[in-house]
Amino acid sequence: MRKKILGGSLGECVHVAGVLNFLGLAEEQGYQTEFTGPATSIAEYIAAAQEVDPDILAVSYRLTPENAAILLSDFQQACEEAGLLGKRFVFGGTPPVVETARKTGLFEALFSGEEPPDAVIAYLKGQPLEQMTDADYPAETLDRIAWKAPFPIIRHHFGLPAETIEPTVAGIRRIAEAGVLDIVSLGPDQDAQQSFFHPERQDPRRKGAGGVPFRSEEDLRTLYAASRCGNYPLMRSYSGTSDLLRYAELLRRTIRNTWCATSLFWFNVMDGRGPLTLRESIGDHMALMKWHGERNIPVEGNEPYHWGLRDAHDAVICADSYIYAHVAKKMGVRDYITTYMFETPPHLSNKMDLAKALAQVELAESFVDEGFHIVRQTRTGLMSYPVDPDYAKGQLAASVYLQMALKPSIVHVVGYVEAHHAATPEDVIESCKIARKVITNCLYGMPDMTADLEVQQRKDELVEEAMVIVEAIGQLGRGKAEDPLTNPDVLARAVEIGLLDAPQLKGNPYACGQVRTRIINGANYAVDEEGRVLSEKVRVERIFARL
Amino acid sequence: MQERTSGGSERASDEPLSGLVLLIDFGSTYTKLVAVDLDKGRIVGQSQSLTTAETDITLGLMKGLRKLEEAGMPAPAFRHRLACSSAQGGLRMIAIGLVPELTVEAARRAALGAGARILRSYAHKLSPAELKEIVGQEPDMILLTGGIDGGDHHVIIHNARLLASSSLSAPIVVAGNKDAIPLVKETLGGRKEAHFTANVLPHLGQLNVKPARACIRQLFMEKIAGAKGMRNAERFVQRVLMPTPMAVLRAAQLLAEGTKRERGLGELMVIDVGGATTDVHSVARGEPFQKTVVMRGLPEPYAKRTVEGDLGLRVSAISLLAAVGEERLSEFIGLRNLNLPAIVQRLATHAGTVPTTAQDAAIDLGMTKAAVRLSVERHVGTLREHFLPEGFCYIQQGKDLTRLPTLIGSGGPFRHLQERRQALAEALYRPENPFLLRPRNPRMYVDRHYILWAMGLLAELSPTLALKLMKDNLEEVSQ
Repeated sequence: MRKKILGGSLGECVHVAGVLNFLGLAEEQGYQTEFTGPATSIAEYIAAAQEVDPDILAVSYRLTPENAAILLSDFQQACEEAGLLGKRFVFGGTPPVVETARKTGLFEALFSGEEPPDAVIAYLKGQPLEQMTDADYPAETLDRIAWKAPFPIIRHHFGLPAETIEPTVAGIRRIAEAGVLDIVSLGPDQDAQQSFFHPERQDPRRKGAGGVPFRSEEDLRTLYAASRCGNYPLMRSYSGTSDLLRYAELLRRTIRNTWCATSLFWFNVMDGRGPLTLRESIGDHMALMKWHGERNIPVEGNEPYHWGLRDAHDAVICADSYIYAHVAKKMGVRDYITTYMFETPPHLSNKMDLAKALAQVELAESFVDEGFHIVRQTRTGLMSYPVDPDYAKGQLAASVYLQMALKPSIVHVVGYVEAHHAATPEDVIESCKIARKVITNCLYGMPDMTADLEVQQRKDELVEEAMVIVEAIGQLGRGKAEDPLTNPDVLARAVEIGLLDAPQLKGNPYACGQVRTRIINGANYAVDEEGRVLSEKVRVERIFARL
Repeated sequence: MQERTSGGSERASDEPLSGLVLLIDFGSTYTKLVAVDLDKGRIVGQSQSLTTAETDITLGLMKGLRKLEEAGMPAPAFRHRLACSSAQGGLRMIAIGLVPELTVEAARRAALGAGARILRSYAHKLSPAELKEIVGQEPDMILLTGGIDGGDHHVIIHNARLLASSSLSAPIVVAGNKDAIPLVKETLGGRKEAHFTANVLPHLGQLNVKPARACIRQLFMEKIAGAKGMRNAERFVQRVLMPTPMAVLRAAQLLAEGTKRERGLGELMVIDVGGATTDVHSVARGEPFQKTVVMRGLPEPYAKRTVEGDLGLRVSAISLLAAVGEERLSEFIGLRNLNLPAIVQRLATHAGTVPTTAQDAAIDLGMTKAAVRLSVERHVGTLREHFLPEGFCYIQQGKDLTRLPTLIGSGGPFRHLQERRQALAEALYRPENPFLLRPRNPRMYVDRHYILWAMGLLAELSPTLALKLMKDNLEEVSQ
């Protein structure tokens, strides 16, 4: 039998939003809920409790603490007379009223709205946050997603550029204690990522450049230990750009790397972020996927948006979503964490941006079956933040609202200060709070922007255009590979001849760099020399004609 | 007539019927007959005679039929004969629930909407003394509720056990917590005649009275009417379809909603002043229309009936005086130095009294005004004022009928009194008591020939014709 909660606002208080939100969350957690309504007199509330026979009595009061003291004293007495004191009581109100309510000793939990939303869920699940220890918090990504649902889990990048790891260690502790972030995504400096196992290649002059300079297993363990407080966030780190498997093992055993991010076409000589050739890195990334797939560790696709960051047109980004999902599945990945980076490139309109993300979702999720799951992750475009912090806060909130249309399981919050400086612990906490408020609002009902006709039309167009590229790659590999989409040679060749291309790859010796793109009506299209939209069919024909 | 809404009501098939139909109300005082010619689509005869329930109910009926026969309509000419009844105290019910303001009130509303007269209602676990009292009242039916679905089940099971152990022979309609039903069934099974239907209050904010009403009506038709001296009458009318108040409520609902072919009047209130009771029927949502008003209490049924058993002009004249007070009733009557206790005593013992003097008429008018004022005050919702840091806010309990567009007076007084408008105007909003949500500026009508009950019956055969006849019969008294 389902547990029952009776909720209502007591006395003359007509504010019901808080208690209704609480009851809504309780319904989602499987409770039967009943609501007495606003301004419920003590007698009415007691009467309702007699009819409902609830397990938990939830009352709210948001007026003055002075009135609350009298009202709650009367309420407690009435409950005693009605034989209800054996029940469980929860209170919601403003912080000063909560303090008054706490003094009655009647309530086992009190919510003032200052606590994180997951505190309410944790209470409803029978594990109040304040009583939870490291062992109580889910230790893996998928478990944490399930535990926190319907809220998505929140991830933020963090790694302070400095000579030592100490500022980052202190920052992680501060963030964990704030309880607003679920996954600390460590941002290492370049040598930690590229030359961890090769001290001789490290350059002391650039120590700490771009991230936290961990140099040893002990450093990693220290960083992880700092996160074991507050809400015990999970931790992960950027993958290495060389010695990929060795690096993956290192991260797993030191910081319990909650998932692995892999790329396909990036983090090599083409973008200057690794020593490997394009072909080699494609092969290594595939091996890395396989290694994590065999260990049931989720794999994140740190991939399609990299094309967008280089101004690739939308169809290429969508085609890459399809290719990456196909590869991940073939490599035995069971849980693929997608990343839909919005506002990339930054001049996309909200409508066309959403259409692009929906096309990516449709293409990637076409591979989903019992053995292959997709976890949707969204994030704000790196290039979209203004330098002005107030504008940037607006951008963060607006972006997260748009992202919520995709119903993500993970929201990768990008600190609003990123265009100005690397996020400090306070910046991370503030950004997460902004995002959490937006998410909370969305979860109580948002308009379905995905149903917009123009959005749907563009999504369908993109799916079709993307598949032209995918089929062209298939054609490229015909007779050379059984599965061209998992063949590093074919994939590298697709980049070299420009099937997958971006304007910012112009002059790059490892890519084609001939495509021109242009934002038209908020969407990014490939265009010809005169700036006219080029369909993928024509573009592909021209590429093959050049060969 | 002003028509405000397009209809959706489909009580019965509107297929063309022909011939004469006889509509009968075996009332507590009078047996009333209305003859309708379905071919001509009009009322062709009406008669009234004293109800003879104490001896043989058909005696009064035959007397009324003879009057129609004299008008050229012999009994065999009626192809259809439909009847309702409130004779012998009407359908006398007892409501049992858990909390007075919740399941007990929901049970009361279900029973009242089914046309019942509630003898008493009981809350929480019945005591042996209460059980004895219930048995002593010899109800026709018991409505047993308690607990929302999934809520408390201890009380309804306790009460079922007590009822099972009693000498009661009345059928029990069980409409409580569905989780408790298997055990209640087991408890009552074989010992009492029990009928099970959906919970009248499945959730705190959800009133669900229709299934219980349907169950009560079915039982009334099958068991109760016959047992109340109607067996002989049933040979003539085939079956007594419903209690009279239910027929009036159905007529009011039809008049408000209309049918697919005939538009209704929109939301309305009918005040039916009788000798024993004053019934108020509102067919209206009554929700708050201002943002600063929030609703409290049990949800209101769209078609709501309240019965004031202490506000009647004859049988209940004594209790009317007690409810209103001598001074106030004198003010309503507009005459001083009347010996009101003696007057109401005489009226109560001579229910058939017809006013013959100007003073008699003034007394009837004053009592009607008092009955209308008090019954509407008890029917409509109220506002309570609350001061919040953000400003004033109001808590509404019950229906807000201030914007109600139509008000109808029915019953003997509205047929016979000259000052019909004056009497009906007592239902209106009064600035000195702004927190009583009475109609402010409705169009006012009277049921000129007192046919609403009959049209509630006719709606079983031909809703559209019933609606047309009601609209034709209404006389506007707004000015």
